[in-house]
Amino acid sequence: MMSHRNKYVMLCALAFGAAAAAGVIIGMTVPAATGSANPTLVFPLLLGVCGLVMAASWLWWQNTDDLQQQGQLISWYWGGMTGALAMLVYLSVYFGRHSDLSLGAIYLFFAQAAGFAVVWLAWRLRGRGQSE
Amino acid sequence: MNNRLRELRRARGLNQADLAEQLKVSRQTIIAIEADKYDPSLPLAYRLAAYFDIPVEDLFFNPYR
Repeated sequence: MMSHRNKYVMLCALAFGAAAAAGVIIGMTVPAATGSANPTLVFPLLLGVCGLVMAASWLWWQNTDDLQQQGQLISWYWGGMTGALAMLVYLSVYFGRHSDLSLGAIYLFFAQAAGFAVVWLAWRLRGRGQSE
Repeated sequence: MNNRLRELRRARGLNQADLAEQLKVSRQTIIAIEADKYDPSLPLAYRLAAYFDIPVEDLFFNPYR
């Protein structure tokens, strides 16, 4: 029987492998300099690919313990947010607020904020018991 | 939170990796709890206490009492 440690490493590799495979698929599907010729088909298809990556990550997440989850959450929240904000300021200062790079980063930031709001709301609603 | 995890683990002749494997947690978690660097969740505290077959307060000392 596979040890817990080996299972953890295997699921971690699966999650990162799925992310790498998704990168290759996206790279092969979407042109480098322009939008896709058929976005109504390609966009949902690639969203499905992203869904598979998240599913693989979920399997790995389910095998992480309290401490590892806390490490991931704190690092992503504080490290990820700080890094993103620093990059946003850098792009704005060096390339202009309305440059393609800055706008792309801003879209990404809004998408993160929206994702955060949805998950936070679900967490808030699930975590609420009966008040007395 | 002060605890007796290291003492109890050693009494069973286990190293940190063995105990982590038994409880299906990372070795890092066992190290951090023993070093009082991390307070486990209530479910994990109860799992640890159940593993050693003792009440949870005999494993983790209640600092508020």
